[in-house]
Amino acid sequence: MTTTQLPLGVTLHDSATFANYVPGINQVIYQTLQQLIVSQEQNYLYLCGTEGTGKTHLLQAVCQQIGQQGKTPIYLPLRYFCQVDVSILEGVETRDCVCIDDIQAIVGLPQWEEALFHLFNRLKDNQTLQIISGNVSPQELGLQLPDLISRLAWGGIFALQSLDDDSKIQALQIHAARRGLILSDEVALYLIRHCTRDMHNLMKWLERIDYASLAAQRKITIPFIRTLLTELTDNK
Amino acid sequence: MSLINGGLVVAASLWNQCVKHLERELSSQDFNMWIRPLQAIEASGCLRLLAPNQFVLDWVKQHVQLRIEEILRRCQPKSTPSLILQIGSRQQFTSQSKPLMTAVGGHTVTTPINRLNSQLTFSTFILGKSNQLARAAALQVAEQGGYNPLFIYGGVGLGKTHLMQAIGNQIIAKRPQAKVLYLRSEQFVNEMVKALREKKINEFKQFYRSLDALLIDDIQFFAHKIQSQEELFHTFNVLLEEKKQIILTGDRPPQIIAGLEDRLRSRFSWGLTVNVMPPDFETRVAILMAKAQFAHVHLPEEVSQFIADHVHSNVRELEGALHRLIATARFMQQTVTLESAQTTLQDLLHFHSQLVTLNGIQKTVAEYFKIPIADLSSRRRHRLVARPRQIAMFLSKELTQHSLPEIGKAFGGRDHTTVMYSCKTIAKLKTADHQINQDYTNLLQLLSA
Repeated sequence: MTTTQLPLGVTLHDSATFANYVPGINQVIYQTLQQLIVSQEQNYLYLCGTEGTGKTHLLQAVCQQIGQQGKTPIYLPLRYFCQVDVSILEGVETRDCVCIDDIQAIVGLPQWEEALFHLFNRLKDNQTLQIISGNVSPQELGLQLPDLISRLAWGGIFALQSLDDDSKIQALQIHAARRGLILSDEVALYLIRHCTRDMHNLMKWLERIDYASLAAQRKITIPFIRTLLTELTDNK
Repeated sequence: MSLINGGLVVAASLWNQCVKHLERELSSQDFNMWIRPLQAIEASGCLRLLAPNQFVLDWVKQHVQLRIEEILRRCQPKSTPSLILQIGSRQQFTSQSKPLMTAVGGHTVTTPINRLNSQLTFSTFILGKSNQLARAAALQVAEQGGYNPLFIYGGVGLGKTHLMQAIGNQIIAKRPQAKVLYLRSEQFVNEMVKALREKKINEFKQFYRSLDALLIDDIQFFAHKIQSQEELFHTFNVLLEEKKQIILTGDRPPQIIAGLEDRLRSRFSWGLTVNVMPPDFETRVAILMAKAQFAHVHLPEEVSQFIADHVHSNVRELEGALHRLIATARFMQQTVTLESAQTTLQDLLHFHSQLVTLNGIQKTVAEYFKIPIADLSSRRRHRLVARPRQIAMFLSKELTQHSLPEIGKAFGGRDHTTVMYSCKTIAKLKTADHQINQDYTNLLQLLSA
């Protein structure tokens, strides 16, 4: 039996900022969000996109940017909170910006739908910036409360598209560099060809590669990745 | 994370140092969820952190309180401030937010907070066939009274709130001293709960019963709130007896709002009930032109007609489409044109195409080329089958996030190199062969529908 050396828990937390987001085809949304923070001409917009198109990254980047200005934003991923009661929404209208992620998680939960409707109104009254994301447009979510659906469509619906392969490679390399890894074009291309290609999944692979290369004390090469992919796929 | 000290902003404080440590130590998600919303006040030897609610407060206490105290000790070993964690907000500490009722010398006096949006007036309300009756009734109530209560109902985003607030603003324009209050049902309920908790229910009653006009929006949210309905009932009676104006809105006529007591329903129907219908095409165009003008954007009439033609349901969606269009035009540094409107609104169609599955692609491609779906996974190499299979693989790579081995597997267990070859072939043929390009475009549209 061979033993693998366990690395210390020193891998860096890969924070989500505008600087390390690769907009690719999503330039309009990328610029609009940044302008929104500066100009505050509009207080609300809705982002939709399939998994791994960067909704979470953008919402956290908004929080990061607003936090840098000495203000107090709050990030609320509803997939995390939907199992508990709605009290997490209390008082958040007193903060400077509210970013609500994964609204699809509360579809069909009447208490949540109503609480979000009331929060929307309170935020609008206070002219607080709010950005909401979902996997589909507000009309397609399947929400029961029409009052909430119509409000969600109010600020304009911005659809995030999946990045093309070149932009995905660029994004992987940026995030790898932030972790202190060098990911060659060939290795990145290999990953894109052999893994499910949404960015969410690719970033998970990057984390695994980071951990495994540290444990094995090896450079990241195609043979190394091939072995890793086989091992991890076999273990599933 | 912002910081105040006796009402003044203090730069580069102790709390900022804590924040820098925590940002490095916590995941981006945890940091944005729990630390960024904290508001800090440093004063007289203590650091007070204000959380927006109990939920955030509990998490901070459980997960980072000790760490924050440790950082404080390290940053300021000689006179380490004590840490106080509580629920609250910056506004409460800087300037007392104006309560609706202010106690002065033991007596309750009203403050002139009417909560009306001064932009929602009759002059900014776009008149159309769908809302002309409701507007006429609203204007009469604002000018002369007469219908009491006035109940405006209709679907979402059709202008009920606008009409209601226009009445309030008009009453104030005519009689600046009039005590008018606009609020949503939820606010009435919350304020009553607060008054009960703070043992100020008498002040609450006195305040509401002293109004000249009470405007309550979305009355359906009173459903099943028995105690609030009881209080509303009595307030209602007092105001009606004193001939004070009441205006209500709801999503349906009062008789069929579920969860309301019969006596309330019947009182809501005493005056005049008017309906607001979805705007017709001409009104939608007029609304868009007015909104664009308000945003100082030139909107060609053909563009507003294009949007009005595609967005029918309500005014909020119209506004949403316009916001989207303006944002794109600003980014591209172009004026809004019919072409840009078409491209912008088609974004959502492209987005829909990303929701398709491998199965969906195979089914659509097989139907389009009129071949059995099983042929796409078979070993047959005849061009009549091979070309559709290659197109289906190309679409699978373009529209789904599956890996190439996964796509190969779905097409009869083929190798990922076969998928790569197919994609390269179709990418090349799309530019060289008009028919292939046409087939690809047609399929893309079918899958986006």
